[in-house]
Amino acid sequence: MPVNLLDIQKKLKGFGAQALARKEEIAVRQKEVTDLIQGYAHRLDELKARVSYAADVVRHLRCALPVDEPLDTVVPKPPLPKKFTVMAADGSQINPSRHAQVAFCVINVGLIKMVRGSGLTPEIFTQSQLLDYDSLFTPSGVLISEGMVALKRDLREREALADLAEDLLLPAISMTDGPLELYREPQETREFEKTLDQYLGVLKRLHEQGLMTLGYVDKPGSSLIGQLLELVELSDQDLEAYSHRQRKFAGVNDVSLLSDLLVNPGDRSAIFAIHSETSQRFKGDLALHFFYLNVGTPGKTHLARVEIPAWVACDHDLVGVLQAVLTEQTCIMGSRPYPYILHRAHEVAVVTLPEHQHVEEMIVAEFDRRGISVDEKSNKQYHKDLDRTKTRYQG
Amino acid sequence: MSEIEIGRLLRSGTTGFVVGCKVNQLNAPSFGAMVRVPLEAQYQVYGVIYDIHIEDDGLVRQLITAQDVPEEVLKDNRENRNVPVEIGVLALGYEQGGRIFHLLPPRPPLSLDAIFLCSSGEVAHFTGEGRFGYFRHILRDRDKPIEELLAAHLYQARAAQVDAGNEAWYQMAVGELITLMRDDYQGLIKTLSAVSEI
Amino acid sequence: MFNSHLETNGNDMSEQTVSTSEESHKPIGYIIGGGLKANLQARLTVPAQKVQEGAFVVVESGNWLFYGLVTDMQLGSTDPRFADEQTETRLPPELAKLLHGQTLFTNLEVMAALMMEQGPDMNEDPEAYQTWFQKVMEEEIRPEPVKTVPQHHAEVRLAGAGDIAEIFGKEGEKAFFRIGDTIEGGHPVCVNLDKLVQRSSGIFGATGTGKSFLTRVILAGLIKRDKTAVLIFDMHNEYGPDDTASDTGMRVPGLKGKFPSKVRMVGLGRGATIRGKTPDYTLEIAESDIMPEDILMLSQELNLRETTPATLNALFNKFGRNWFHEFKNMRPHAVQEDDEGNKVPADDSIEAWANEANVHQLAAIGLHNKLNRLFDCPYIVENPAGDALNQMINNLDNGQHIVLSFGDHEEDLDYLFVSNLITRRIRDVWEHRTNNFRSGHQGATEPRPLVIAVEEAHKLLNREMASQTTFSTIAREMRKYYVTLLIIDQRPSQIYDEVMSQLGTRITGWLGDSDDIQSVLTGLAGRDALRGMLAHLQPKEEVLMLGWGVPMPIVVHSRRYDDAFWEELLEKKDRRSNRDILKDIGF
Repeated sequence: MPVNLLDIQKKLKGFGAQALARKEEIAVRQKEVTDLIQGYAHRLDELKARVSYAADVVRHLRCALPVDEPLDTVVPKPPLPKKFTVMAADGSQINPSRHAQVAFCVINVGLIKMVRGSGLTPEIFTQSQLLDYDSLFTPSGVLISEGMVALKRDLREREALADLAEDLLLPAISMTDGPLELYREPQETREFEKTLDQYLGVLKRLHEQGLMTLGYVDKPGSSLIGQLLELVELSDQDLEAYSHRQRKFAGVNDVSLLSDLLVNPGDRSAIFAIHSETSQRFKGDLALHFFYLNVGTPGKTHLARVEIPAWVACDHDLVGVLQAVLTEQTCIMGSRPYPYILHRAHEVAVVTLPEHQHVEEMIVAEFDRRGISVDEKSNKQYHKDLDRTKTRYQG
Repeated sequence: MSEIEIGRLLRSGTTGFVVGCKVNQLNAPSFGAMVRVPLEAQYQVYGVIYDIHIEDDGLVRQLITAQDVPEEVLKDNRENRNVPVEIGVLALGYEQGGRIFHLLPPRPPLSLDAIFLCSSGEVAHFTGEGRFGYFRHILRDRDKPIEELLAAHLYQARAAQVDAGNEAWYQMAVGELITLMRDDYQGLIKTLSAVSEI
Repeated sequence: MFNSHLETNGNDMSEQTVSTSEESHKPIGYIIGGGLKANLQARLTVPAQKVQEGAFVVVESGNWLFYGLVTDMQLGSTDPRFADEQTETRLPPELAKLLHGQTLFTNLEVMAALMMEQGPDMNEDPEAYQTWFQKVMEEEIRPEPVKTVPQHHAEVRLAGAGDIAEIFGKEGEKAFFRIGDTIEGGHPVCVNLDKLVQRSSGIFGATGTGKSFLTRVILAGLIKRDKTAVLIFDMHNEYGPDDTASDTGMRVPGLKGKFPSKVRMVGLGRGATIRGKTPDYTLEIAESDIMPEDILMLSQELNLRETTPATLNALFNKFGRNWFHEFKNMRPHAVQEDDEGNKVPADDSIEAWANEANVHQLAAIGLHNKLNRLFDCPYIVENPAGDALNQMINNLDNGQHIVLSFGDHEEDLDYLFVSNLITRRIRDVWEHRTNNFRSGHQGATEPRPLVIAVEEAHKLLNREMASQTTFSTIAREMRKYYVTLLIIDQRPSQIYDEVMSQLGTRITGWLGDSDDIQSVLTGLAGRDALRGMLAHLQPKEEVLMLGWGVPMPIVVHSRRYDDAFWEELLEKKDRRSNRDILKDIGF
């Protein structure tokens, strides 16, 4: 037996006790934050000023920034437009691996476009991109990281949406999974900068085409609102010593703060802007905003964070459409709310193991044709590949 | 020859094969319909659909928990998604050099071979040849719903034979079935009850 | 492409029985079992109603044809549940019909009687066919008793006219005389008249089954055939003169009217008229012709005692052929006074004779009393006007036929006495002639075969009488002396077994009594099978022919005795010579 359950068993009591104690601590803090929300609900200017002050003294500050809605705002779901377009893109990738016979990278993006109210079958697209061999290596000659590939993938997703965005029936909404904000810690800073510029260019294109874009964050763990209120609780001295590594309201996340407010399915919170280092690159119409949305069912609240650019956030009608459409999309998935269209984009994009192998075989064949020697698979990869299931005809 | 392709072969054996197809291809084949798999020049395998199997998956299971499923989503699932639809086909015989044999095919079809629905003329040609030898293959497998299968097959083949001007085929077919099954009272009565509903 | 029996349905009630000559060559079934001892079993492939018990069927097996009779039909099923469940209530009629056609069936039991080699195909091998045909013509190949069995699945079909003719002969050829038609196909069935009269034969059937019409048909056939003399004891005056049918009221032509020159009608007793007509001549019996055995034969009728033979013997010893006359004239209890004035039996008294002949007086007186019925018979005379008996013999000899009508003398006593006495005389004559002929006497010619038709034969041929009458002798002798019987009776069981077993040809209509049925079948093979057929005959006009005189048993729809019959029988009249015509008119 790989795990010695007796050893686990011995520690289980203490483990549970610790969890309980921690939960109680957090509950106390949460009460504090909730009270602060009540207290500062309408004191938006004070909060904005405090963030502005803190931005100068705290490195890597990351928090919510109120815009024009009180903190405890609850906006119920408006009615769904009769006809609209909803699109989603999702990507998957084959990361370059030193265990493989050859180094290669494929980014596969799945797209789906559904015109609700039309009765038409949604359209499905896939875009598969084999990255240039040259782009697989950093200037230092090692293979690019998985994070870099992910960055390129996120860019491809938006590009793909922009490519499809002509002649759309409006209103039109496009979505991707995860934040709109690119938040990576890549070593390849130069490459990141280049990619980010391209990314912003695409967002701009989307804006020009009138295609609303959003990033859907399921089960968000962030505590942007808690961090905002921490700023007002701390003295200026404390603020100087503030570090996001040692927080006053640690463990109190936004979802737990808002769950009691957004009780009805379709309810959204106030819209906040995001203050962060990266978000500073998203300027003007593209400035990053977010709100929380209850995509759950009656009696079972489930909050998602929705990230949108400023041009959408500023137009409450557009936000209303988005709110209604997202609620419907998540509702389609029944007891496990998640935007249907996003799930479908993911399904389309997924690269299966056989496909992976097939592409690899194609590349190896091309290398052979050109007389390029091909490494053997690593033994680790060889044994992984052995485990394949087959089915047999049984009448 | 009909060119209605209903799918491609997933797996096969001497006695039959399984065809995979998309849900939107599914309006063509029906239970009891005859299909053919052209394998090479002058050689094709004939079979009858005894099972159409639509597998579920996580998404479908999830979708049924929703209160309303928009029409576009239904269509997306049926037409776009790679939901495995499996069509079970029982081998009935083959055609070689223009001659029909009601024997099991010497070689089964191979993976991804295209499967076509038989046209009325092809059904009449296959079923009118010989003396209903292919009933053997259907009757062999008592695990399958052979009563229903026979009824569905007779219904479709009768129409094809009537088109071909052979009005007497149906009576002879039922007569042959009775001869083959008369030692199995229960089975025969069940089959005739099913046939009587067509 | 498909098996033909798939399409048939053994239990289809809707189809009518249709029989055409074309249909007769279609198979009605195929052999599934059986043997030489048991009958053959065949699976019926046509509706059961197309075949009936007694049907004449042909089984074609390889180069052989088997001829047989359907003796039983049995309902069967491949699984008893198919028979038990009324599936027609669950399934549409079309399916139910198909199901029943395959699972429910009728089996035929076929009694194979004859088999015959078939010829080779005329087109395939003309030479072999010619050889075979020659053999058939020369009767080297002919139907013979069954000695083997047909193959499994050999086809069974109803016999066609050709098959019937092959077995029973073709109407109009040789001695073949159509006696009726087959039940299924209506094909003519003939009887060989020459063979019929080679042994005694019998026609049986309960009252009203058309027995006497059939007898008329056969007698007419025999007279027309003209190879045999026919003597008919016409107890009820039916055969000679025209008659009126008791049931239909239609006029029934008599033999005399149709064969005026060939048939002599003889009346019993002087001045006898038969249905108002004067016979050709009358028959009186001379007292001297009566022999003691003629009286003994009447023991039952006259209730004679066991002393009678002794008394008769004494009378015959004393008076010879005049015994009857003498005895008749004796006076019972007559007395006379003797010389001494005592009353003693008169000389012409019975007592006197009895004393003299040492016969018991009371026995003699008793016999005399009982013979009074004979003494009173007007047709028994001391000296008949002419020798009618001899004339009858002459007539029979000369190719004429006699209908002896009993006129008003319809009592059993008359019938028994006269028929027996005449038969005895005639048979004596025929025996004598036969012996002369056989021993090569100069001038002796072969006697003309004679058939004596006897109605109500059981009165003459019952167990008690059989040993005493000439009839049983004739029956046993077969054709030794050129005399055979045609016995007609409704109670064959009353006829002595030994006589019955000697009958060559038996033609029988419906019989109600199982003893009678048993009796008709005495001495024949396949009795069990035939018994059922006999019991199931239609009460009218259906008869079963069987016995030595017919190739195989067969049920026949008997020929109607009507104007059409006579037209057919006498159709060649116009083509006959003037001489024959004149002869018929009486010149």
